[in-house]
Amino acid sequence: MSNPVSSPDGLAQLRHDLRTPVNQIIGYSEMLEEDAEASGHSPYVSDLRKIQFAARTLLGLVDTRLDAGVLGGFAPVPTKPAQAHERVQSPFAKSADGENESVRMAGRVLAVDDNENNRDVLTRRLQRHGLTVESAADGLQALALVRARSFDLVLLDIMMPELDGYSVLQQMKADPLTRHIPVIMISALDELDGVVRCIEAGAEDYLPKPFNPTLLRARISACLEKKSLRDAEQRHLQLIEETKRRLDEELAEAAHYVRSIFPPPTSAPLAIDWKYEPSTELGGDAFGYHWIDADHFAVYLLDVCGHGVGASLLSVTAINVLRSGSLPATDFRNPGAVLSALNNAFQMERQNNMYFTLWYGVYHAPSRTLHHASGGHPPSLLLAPDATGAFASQRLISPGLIIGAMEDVVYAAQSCIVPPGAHLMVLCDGCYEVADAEGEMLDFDEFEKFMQLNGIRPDGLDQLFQWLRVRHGEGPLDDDFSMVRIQF
Amino acid sequence: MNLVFNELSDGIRVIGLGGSLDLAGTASVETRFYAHCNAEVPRIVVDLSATTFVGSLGIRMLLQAIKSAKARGGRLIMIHPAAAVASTLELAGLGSFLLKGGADEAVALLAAGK
Repeated sequence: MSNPVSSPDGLAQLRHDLRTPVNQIIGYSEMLEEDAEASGHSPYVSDLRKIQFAARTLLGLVDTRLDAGVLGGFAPVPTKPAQAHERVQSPFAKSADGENESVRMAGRVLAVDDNENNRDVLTRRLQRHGLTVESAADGLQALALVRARSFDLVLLDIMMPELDGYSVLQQMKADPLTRHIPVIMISALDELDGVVRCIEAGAEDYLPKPFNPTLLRARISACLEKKSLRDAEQRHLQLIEETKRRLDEELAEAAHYVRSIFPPPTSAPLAIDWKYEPSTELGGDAFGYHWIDADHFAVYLLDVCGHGVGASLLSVTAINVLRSGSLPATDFRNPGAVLSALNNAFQMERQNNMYFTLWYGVYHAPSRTLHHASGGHPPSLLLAPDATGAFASQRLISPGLIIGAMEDVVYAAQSCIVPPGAHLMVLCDGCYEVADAEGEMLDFDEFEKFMQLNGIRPDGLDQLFQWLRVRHGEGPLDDDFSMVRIQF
Repeated sequence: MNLVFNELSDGIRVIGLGGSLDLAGTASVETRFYAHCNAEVPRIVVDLSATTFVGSLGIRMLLQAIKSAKARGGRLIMIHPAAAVASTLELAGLGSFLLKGGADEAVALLAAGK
């Protein structure tokens, strides 16, 4: 420092060097005054206040002399010498609000200052508030510490040799590991420009030297509180994400289980395949088929109202009843009887207010007759070749109330002859009730036309699903997609 | 989903349901709908002219109200469904609770206690 006052930087350095020891005197004497009051040595208090008064007067002199003598027109914020009202505001001077040191804070703070005595004053001050304090003597050490350990707050001096506070702040905010740690800048009163730059770069707040004990405590406390709220928010977010991940896993597991109870595709005596694509939330579809005896083949598909694991539990239960033929005194070759018995067994009041729709068909092979009944379910499609070789479709529908709605409903069956080469599609409403981007629903007629053209193709079920996906646009379909196809 | 409620002088209630009775729509209107359907002897006209879609949970909501009205000696009649909504309700087996005529006819039926 050959000529410290020849440039603004040199002047700032000089001001810094002159103020630093005076600030330390103020800091120590304030703490000593608190100790003196706490331990009943009140005679010392007035002496300590005199020291503080003299120190503040000296600070004022440093500023006014330097500004007047060297900087001319530049007028920094003046530092007032010690004034009565500042003393009254001190929470440690037996203040009337009574909160002073009884308000303890908790947290890990890193204090960064190149001046050893400054660090010592700050560390002692913070420890009095109950904080755990570590300190760093320069910017590089500070960066190494915040990256290696966890801190709730960093108090960062702006003016330091080599790596200054602003650069440390910039690097902390650029690093995802340290970006979330709040930083309070410590500055001399003539460093307001630097403070503004730091606030813009992400500092939470600033504290002017010499520290006003009330400001120091209030700003640190506000920062720590904010940090603890942000930490709590982060923990809750993590918990929600974890819960969501577990739920998704369980839904996927449930979907996997539902799929596992479906019978495998067959090629003889009937060629049967199916496609099942559960919605994200699992939609409550289930189906099955089996030979009741040598002549009678049953195929059935049901759809429980609503979505989720609850709907799936009912769909699996009901499908197992059909699969195992376990309804009392019921002829499973008679679709109407099966639906009536199921309806009484699964009244919605006893099933958590859930109902289901069901299509149930029985094919009598010797007579090529298909008997079928429906409980509120969409029609199945029978595609049969006409004389020209094109496929015409027939809707197999028998109106019946949804299963579980009311007791003792009679379900009537209908029947049709199945020509050789015909294909039967048993389906759910998720195969056609698909909205496009404008919310317009596909209707059954359009779906039927698509099936007439593509339904018998080997990849017809995949094609239908792809067609619906394209129509729906982005995102998964809202409902389960399930279809069973049988070639007679 | 919106709900318009109107109580006529003789205690007959007309409930209009506007929007889509899908999963979210039904959830948003269900509690209010049941509340309006709740009476000593419920006599309810449900106007579906502004209903664009009825999904499985919408059907459940209508069905619950129909059953609850019936259990208390009352009745629920649905009117003015759009074609797609009518076919959904018929498919579910609720066609017998749909009235082809309009509100006046429904009110007359309920007033006569039929």
